[in-house]
Amino acid sequence: MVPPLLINSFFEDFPSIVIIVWVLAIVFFFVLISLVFFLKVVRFRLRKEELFVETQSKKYEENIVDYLYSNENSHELNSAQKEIIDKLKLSLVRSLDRKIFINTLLKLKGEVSGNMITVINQLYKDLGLATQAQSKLHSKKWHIIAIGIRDLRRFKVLEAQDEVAKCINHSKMEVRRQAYLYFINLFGFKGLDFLDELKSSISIWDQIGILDALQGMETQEVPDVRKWLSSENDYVVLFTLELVKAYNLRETQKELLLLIKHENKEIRLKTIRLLNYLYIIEAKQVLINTYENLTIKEKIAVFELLENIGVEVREEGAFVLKHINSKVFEIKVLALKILKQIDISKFIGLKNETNVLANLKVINYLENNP
Amino acid sequence: MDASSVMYYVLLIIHFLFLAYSFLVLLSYGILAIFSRKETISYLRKNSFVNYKDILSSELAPGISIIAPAYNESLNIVENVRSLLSAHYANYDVIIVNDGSTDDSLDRLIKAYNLEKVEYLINERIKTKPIRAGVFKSKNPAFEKLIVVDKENGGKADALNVGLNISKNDYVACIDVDCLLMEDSLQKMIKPFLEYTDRRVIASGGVIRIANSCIIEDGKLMDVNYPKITLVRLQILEYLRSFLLGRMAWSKLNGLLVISGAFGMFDKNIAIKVGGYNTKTVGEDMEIVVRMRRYMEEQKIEYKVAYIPDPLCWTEAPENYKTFISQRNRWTRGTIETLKEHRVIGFNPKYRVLGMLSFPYWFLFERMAPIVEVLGIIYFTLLLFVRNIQWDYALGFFLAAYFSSVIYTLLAVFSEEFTFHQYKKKGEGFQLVLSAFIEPLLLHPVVLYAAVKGNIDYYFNKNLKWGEMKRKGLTNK
Repeated sequence: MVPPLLINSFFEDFPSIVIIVWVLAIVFFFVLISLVFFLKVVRFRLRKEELFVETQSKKYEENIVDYLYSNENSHELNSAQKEIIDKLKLSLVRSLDRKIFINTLLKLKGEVSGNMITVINQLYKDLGLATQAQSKLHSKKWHIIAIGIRDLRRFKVLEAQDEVAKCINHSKMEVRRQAYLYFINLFGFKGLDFLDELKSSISIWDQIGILDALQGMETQEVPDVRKWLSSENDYVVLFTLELVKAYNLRETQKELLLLIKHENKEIRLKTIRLLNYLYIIEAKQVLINTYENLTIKEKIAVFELLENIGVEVREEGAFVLKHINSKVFEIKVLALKILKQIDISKFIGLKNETNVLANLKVINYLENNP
Repeated sequence: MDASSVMYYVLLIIHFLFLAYSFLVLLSYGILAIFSRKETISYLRKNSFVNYKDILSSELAPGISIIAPAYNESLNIVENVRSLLSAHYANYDVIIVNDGSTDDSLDRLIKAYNLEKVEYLINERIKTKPIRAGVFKSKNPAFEKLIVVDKENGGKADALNVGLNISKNDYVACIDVDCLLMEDSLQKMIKPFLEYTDRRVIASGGVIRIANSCIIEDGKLMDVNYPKITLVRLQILEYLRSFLLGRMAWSKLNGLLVISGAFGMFDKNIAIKVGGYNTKTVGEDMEIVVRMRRYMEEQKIEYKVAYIPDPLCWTEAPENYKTFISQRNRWTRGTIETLKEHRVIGFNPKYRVLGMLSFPYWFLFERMAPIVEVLGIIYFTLLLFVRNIQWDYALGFFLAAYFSSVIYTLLAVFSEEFTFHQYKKKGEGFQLVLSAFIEPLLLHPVVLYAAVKGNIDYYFNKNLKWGEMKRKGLTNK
């Protein structure tokens, strides 16, 4: 131990700034030593936790398998099952244990089928985990709410639907996404009704998740989506366009043609591409009539549509010819491509007419490539 | 006031300037560490709800082009391309741009992937060096995602620009051909572009990890090892500090100025609108991000440069000091060139976080740091000759600086342990701590030397370009 007197005499003539620096150096030294020690503890704990997770998973897996196979015929719980439930309740006090147990339950749920899945869902409820998950929905922390909804979805807890519905317009996108998926996973296409209440956005990432969930449904009865194509929420319209595409809903043609004049350019672009995908011939004239008001991306999409659906020389030939010298490369290529399809002699004739090297390159390329 | 008093006050001011600078560095590191912690927790929480499998089969998954420039990579190019072709993503292609290689890279690719020359209509939106042998595609449907372009040598930026011109997808992932991509890297990098609805994500950057000593088989990372070579070990700590603390914090502030050239994903339309990669700088990876950000600020469009802390891309770090110094020299020149090119941004409130925070930070603590440090060393040496050094003062300053530096590195190690925990073998924790203690003494002087050399080369050796980076290759044979 250094005597305090010695420390005082060491710092005696130091300016205050140097004293501060020395104090900092000493503090840093102790912080450093603590960090090194703490790092060792952390690494040890992480290793221990890894082992713990492994052993507990095995233990819970055995418990669950025993529970599932101790009473395959009756819907009533027998004494063995009750005993397992009591034992599990005692060991699921710590949140880490609950986490491991839920993961094990989910793993097994993925491996079994039929009635076993219902039994697993019931076990989740019998252990009080559903009630706990529901109580998470009242948390102030967004990630706790999201965990709650996720677990309620995974174990099909229908009773929570009113509470989950309140999260549809939550400020955090992760919570909203879990709420959307809850309704889709539990109610299938009927769950899409959440779109009626939606005030916030649905990202493309959300759309991917929802469509994936829908495609996994046993019944594929798509509801009438037309009301959502005229929704005031642009994100609902954008998502509905994806639904129309995914399920080839050609009966929405009338609504789609109206969307060509929508204020939102993203909706317009997606609509044009969708009209192309659905091969809606009536779209050609509507698009040609509004062509000048469209953005470049939309104009390219129009030409893609014309190339795909085909062009009548008498009706749209002049329109195409007008754009073979377009400044937009993609439009020029598409216009020339269409011209080649509808009037090959005119197309070949262009070779002699043009003296622009870039145009000649495109013409030569199109001539050699179908 | 006599001359000696004037001298006294001048010296006092110099001392306080050095002190203030050191204090600001320390403070900024502390603040970055706090922001980094917040962002890391937030990322891990958000990520725990993500199911990346959804995007694998989705028709909504946007197209991505991986652009990989190659120059004289004959030794490993076939294996490297195989690794790129094995990404788990539904809708992507791989564009290898052979940038005028003088070795047999192209022949090896043609042979290995059964390539044939095809006619390809290129919209040359960015001016580049001309195509040399042409564009090649495979006759084998198994490699239908592969496009090889052979062009005249024009440097990495020019090769990337050819890739931008050729790509037909909305997003491009620009990578070094010798990097090892994790199978899920494209899924993770594309996510930010798809999840924001209130702003446009213009780029996303991933963490680069050092693969030396790792076990790699058939283009896949099998086992992570802490290397035996000291220089590589110390670089690992540098990378952890930079990627897990620095960039993570800047991501929180939406102030990222650089996305590593080894692996970054971009919104192709914006990249083309700003003119693609700048061929006149050796820091093209930083420059394009700054230019894209500048463009978005000037257009008043809300945007984000996203950052993914998962270990997605593994690269080979220099194992000898010569290559290391050459690499850091280039990084320094790149930083100087970019900051000079876009100096109008600095301290300009019109550019918000970019102008008032990111740019000043980079200028003060990245661009100026080696200069301040060298001035400090020169001044200290002068003091040694002209007057007595107060060693008990100096020791206090030295210890405070040294300990704080090690603490900051250890915080990065903690971040690694709590998140991705890659170095989990017994004994590796001790090695990490040991490296943290010796890094300021062994590696930092070399980094400083390289930075000074970079400054000298920038001002007095203008013709110096990329320099050669000799690599052994990652595949374990």
